Amino acid sequence: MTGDQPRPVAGNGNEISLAGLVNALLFAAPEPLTVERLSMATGAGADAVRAAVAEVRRYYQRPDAPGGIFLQEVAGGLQLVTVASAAEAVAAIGRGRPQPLSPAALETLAILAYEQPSTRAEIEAVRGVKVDGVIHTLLERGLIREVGRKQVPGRPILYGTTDEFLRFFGLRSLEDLPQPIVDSAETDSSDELPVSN
Amino acid sequence: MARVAQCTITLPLFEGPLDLLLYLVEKHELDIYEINVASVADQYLRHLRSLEQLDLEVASEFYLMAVRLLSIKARALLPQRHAPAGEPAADEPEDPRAQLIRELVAYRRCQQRAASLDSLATGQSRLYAPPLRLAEATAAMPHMWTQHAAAPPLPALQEAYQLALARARGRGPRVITRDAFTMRQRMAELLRLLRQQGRLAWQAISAGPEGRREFVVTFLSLLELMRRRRIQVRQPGPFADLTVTLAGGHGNRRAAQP
Repeated sequence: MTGDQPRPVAGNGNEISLAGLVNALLFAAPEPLTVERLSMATGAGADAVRAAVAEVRRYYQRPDAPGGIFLQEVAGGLQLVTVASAAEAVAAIGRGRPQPLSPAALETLAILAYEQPSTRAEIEAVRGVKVDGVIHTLLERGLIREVGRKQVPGRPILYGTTDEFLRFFGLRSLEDLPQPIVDSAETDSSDELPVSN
Repeated sequence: MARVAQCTITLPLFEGPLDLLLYLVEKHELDIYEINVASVADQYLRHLRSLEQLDLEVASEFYLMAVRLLSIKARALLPQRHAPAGEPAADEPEDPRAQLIRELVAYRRCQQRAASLDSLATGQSRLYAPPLRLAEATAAMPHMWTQHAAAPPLPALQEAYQLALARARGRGPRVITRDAFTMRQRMAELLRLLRQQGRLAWQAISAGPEGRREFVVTFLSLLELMRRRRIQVRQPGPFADLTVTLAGGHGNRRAAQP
């Protein structure tokens, strides 16, 4: 690390570099850490933390490193995770997998993620079925939350996705949402649809 | 998208009427914008009849779509009443077929997005971050907990029940005598003990009577006393024992009950 940053000191009195400290925090963190939180915990400035993060990332990518772990950017934060190819082995030592989402839940999230905030009725209009149960499940799993009320008669609740949603799908932000290829006709306005039957 | 079997009971295979309709359109490799509603309507009805057990609430949505399809079909068969040549009137309602196509297109887009979310989730579920260990989580909790300390949440009560059950289970084999042990008795006894001792620890209460039946009666008695606002149950912290006290402090008059 650069010498002009105050060097944090480890508990045993031995010096530890900022990159080492950042590495330790990322290793021990129960949730993704933002640069701000790393900065608060280490007492170092944001730029220094960003440089340290880059150093940690390089460390795990080194060709002579054993591999198995990498630094993932998710929900605006950073976390150390095991590589996908280790998944079966990790599961074998007792780590569970999150319960997969039902098609109904995925469809509901697909609408919300791209069009949020949305009301229940707006989601139902696209899916063509009631979504009360699904909304309840998604709220319970912390994947969506109430973000306000729509200023229309009845003031229906508006829903949006959460940081947990980003974590669940491994997204850095909503801008990272995949953009499936759509056929060109879809982008045409609806009044140009053929009317003949 | 993979249609994973879930615990929730949904229609076999189809998420809703639009899902079924889209399936029929794609099965015949039809262009969504060129669909022949009359023929799709027939297939739709045939399919609906083959789905024998329909959840009533879901079924209504499927039948509503059937009605829409038939109405579009009927409209197509009837001679069109053409508006006078020139531009169509502004307040003319949208062509129901065009509206249906619009819904199908929106739903298809939703399905495509759901499919890509699904593969993202599958990918992410293979990456493991460090787990949060229970002991640490407990240590980190009290400051969040104190705000809610006044009323123990239901999960805490359930957990206390499970713990006491586990304790009772660990006592080994014994003869179980089934005697009359009523909630009325137990409630009176609990109130008497509370008047004598001021407060009772849940641990002490649940350790008292033996047997599942007695335990259930005791537990229900506590809940009933809580419901009648005769007692208060507090939990000072996470995983801490529950403390039972008399409610209010204005005596234990039966007349105060509703």
